Amino acid sequence: MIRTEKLCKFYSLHSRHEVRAIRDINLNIAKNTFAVFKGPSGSGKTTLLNVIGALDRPTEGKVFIYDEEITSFSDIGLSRLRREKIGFIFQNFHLIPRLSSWENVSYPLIPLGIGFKERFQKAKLLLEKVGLGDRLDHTPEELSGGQQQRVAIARALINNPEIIIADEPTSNIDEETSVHLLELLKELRNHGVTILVATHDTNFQKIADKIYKIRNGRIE
Amino acid sequence: MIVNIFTLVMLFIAVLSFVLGGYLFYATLKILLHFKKDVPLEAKSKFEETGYLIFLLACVVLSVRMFAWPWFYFMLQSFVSEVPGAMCIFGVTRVLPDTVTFLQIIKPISFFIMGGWLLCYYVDKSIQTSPLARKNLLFLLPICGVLLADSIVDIYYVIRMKPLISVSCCATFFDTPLRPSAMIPQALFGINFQQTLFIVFYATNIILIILLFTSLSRKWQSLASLPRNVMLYSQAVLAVVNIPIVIISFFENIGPTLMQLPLHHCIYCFMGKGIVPDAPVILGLFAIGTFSIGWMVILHFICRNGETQLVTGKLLRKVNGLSVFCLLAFIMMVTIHLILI
Amino acid sequence: MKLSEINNMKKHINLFLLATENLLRHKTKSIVVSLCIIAILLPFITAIAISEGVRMQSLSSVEESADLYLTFDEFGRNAAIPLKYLDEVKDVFGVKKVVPRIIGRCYLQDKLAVIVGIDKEYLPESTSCVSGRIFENASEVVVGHELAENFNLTIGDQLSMRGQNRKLFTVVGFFSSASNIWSASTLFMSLQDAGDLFGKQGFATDIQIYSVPGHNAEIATELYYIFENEPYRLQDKDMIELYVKKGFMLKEGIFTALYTVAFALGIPAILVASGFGLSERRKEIGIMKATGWQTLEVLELISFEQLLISLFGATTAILLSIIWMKCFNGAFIAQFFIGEINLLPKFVVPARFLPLPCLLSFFFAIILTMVGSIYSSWKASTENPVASLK
Repeated sequence: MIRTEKLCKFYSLHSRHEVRAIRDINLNIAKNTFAVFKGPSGSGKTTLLNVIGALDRPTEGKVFIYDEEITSFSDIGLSRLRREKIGFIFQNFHLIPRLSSWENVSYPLIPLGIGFKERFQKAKLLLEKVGLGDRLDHTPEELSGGQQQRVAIARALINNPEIIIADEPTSNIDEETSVHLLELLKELRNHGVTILVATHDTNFQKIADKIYKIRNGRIE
Repeated sequence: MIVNIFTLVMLFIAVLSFVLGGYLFYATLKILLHFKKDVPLEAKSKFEETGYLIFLLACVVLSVRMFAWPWFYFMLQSFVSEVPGAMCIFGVTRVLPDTVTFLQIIKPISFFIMGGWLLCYYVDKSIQTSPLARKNLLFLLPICGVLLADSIVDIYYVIRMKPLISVSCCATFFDTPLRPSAMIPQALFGINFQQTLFIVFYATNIILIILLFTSLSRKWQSLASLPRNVMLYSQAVLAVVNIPIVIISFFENIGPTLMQLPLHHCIYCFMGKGIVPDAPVILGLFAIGTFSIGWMVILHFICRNGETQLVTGKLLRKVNGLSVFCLLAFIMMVTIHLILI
Repeated sequence: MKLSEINNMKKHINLFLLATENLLRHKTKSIVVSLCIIAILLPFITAIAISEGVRMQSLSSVEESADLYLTFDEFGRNAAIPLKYLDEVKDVFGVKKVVPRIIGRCYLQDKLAVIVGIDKEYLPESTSCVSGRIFENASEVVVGHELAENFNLTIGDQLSMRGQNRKLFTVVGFFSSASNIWSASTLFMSLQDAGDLFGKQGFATDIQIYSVPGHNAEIATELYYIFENEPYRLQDKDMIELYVKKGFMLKEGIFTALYTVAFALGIPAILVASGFGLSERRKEIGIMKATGWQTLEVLELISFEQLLISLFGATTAILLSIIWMKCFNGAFIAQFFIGEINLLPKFVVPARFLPLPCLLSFFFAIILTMVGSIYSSWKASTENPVASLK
């Protein structure tokens, strides 16, 4: 389902501050796989996930999702891909501060032309699923770290994505939420969603279908 | 230069669109010179970013030029009191006549081609791989040229406009037996050309509307059993032929009848004196209806691509619908006016 | 309509509503940009309204006045005409009424007043006596009621004026006029008194001729023979109207010229103000793009915000302009269009809010925000989501 060929991402190429974040990455991740990427800080996990998730363009190489070469897509094509097929869960949650929980969750639905009531209903359902049914109108400042991450998870699921990409999702949350998140991802995997997680958390590594070790931008 | 609110606003608009249009031209040229089909992936992001800036600039420039088009006529109307002997805009057009004629022609052209470009841009952005990026940029270059020419001549006209000569009333030009708008139909249809011209006016417009409806309706298409290309080309040809027919009809038949001045054939009096308050709406509907057919031709030629086929087809139908609506509304408004007189 | 088309329309509605919410959420930026627009547009709209108001009153004065104006010509300018020709002019075929008048200016204390010397039966119809009576005897004047208020005049007061000669007048009445400017600066007196005041007995500044419709050309021909060897000048109502229109066009034009400079400077001001607001939202836009928003949708959202700000700014500017006229009487601006008045005029300044200047102000507001925010909108919406989320 997800395939990469000689994927490279360099920053400040040919300059004194050149950084080769990932080099010659060849991956083949089947559908419905729970893949974990582990490696020390600065090894290129986040960069790899950003490129696969169409958040960034590689310097060289190709990325295929469902045999479509997404590296040839225009900016609009990449946006559509993120909207329709990919859900992101970030390390720092990245919620919009002035919006309530349900507004944060339903934000991706606005450009789809979905009306207010429908957006609210969908967001409410997801927030109830992650255990925040009583926190619909709370803004991120009024939520704990764990609760914010659950809102972020609900947001990632709002468009029924086929791929979930989570970058260090448990590094800023408590143990209980971390376990809850893991259960949720397992459940999604069982429903056919492909999960890509960058994490040091051993609990994730225990249940992963595939573990990729990344060091100095290469997969070992 | 005549200093009044109209000339200064016109000058402001012209200078603004010159500056923006000039930058647009520069940005488009720059991106085209560096455009390669197989471009490094990261450079693609830069191209796309610049492409969005070009799109934004194009939208702003188009909005400004769209405002400039009717404002130009407001400005000419404001000159009527300044030009000795002028009774309507016609008198004003006798001062710097070549410049005014150029401006009157280039403004609708720039609106037309800019609209065509925006439609092509929409098609390009609807496809994941943006296959028409280079074509659109190439198309934009001459458009920038037209916009710049329009702005420069606007500035020139505003600065050079001085009512130093006395001009004649429009009646001395439009109401003589040897007026150009009468000579052509007279040569074609004989001395009693007005009735024939009236019939031809309705015939061409109705046939055009029917052709456009046929493209919209699958049932009619299958009945007509004409290939889409043939249908489009015949619509385009008829639209082009229709333009002088409508213009001459307005000069000779419809304008004087609606103004209830059967011997007065001045189109400026028809448009600007408030005798027929919705005259600009009527002619505006005709303009957009005709432009829409032109836009369909532009879409057909520029957006001919395997990838864009589906999107182009859908957009062609929408533009077709717009054309039908505008031309139908145009004909109905004229007919209702004629009935009510 | 297909589902995709309905959703497309709803998308634009959603973006529009979200733009409204965003403006309310980011109040500081919205207020700053709106204030920029209001500060630029408010004096412009007020000035045009005053100009239109004064123009309307001037044109209605011209409209109710004579069909022809007869003066002498001196060095290409209007000069006083002797009254000895009056009877001859009256007898011309097509002439209904002949009204000689003297229009001059004279200081009343520190204020320059307009003196109109005219026989009482020929007073303009638009003027009406609000108190007292019309002058009947020599050295009697009727004063515009706003001018009278300015000097706290009452019926029976005496005032001294000096033209060529010093004369003492008695105030016998106050008048009001459809034109506020008249009421604020004019005194009516008899033709004789005006002639005495200015030392020009037997002369008039002009002779107004009221004619039977369609006879102006014949009257002009007759007058040619009457004044064959005299340097006379005949102007018709249309010509006067033309001069009035041209004069106002020019004033509006000069004011607009000053204002286009302000508009041009307004663009970088908006650039800074709107850019400041957008740079704060970098992260928000990064989140939007990471969750599937397209660049064009972000651009559309930002454009809607700018459009709403400009519409709000223009509407507020128009409303404030109306309030400025009602409450502050066009202070600081009216003097551009009405001669010899103070910063704070003491009479009600006429104003007219016409559709075209209001539409023009909307156009300028939209152009200001669109052009001013091109760079900042583009920069914000094309931001790489990875970079903005760091």
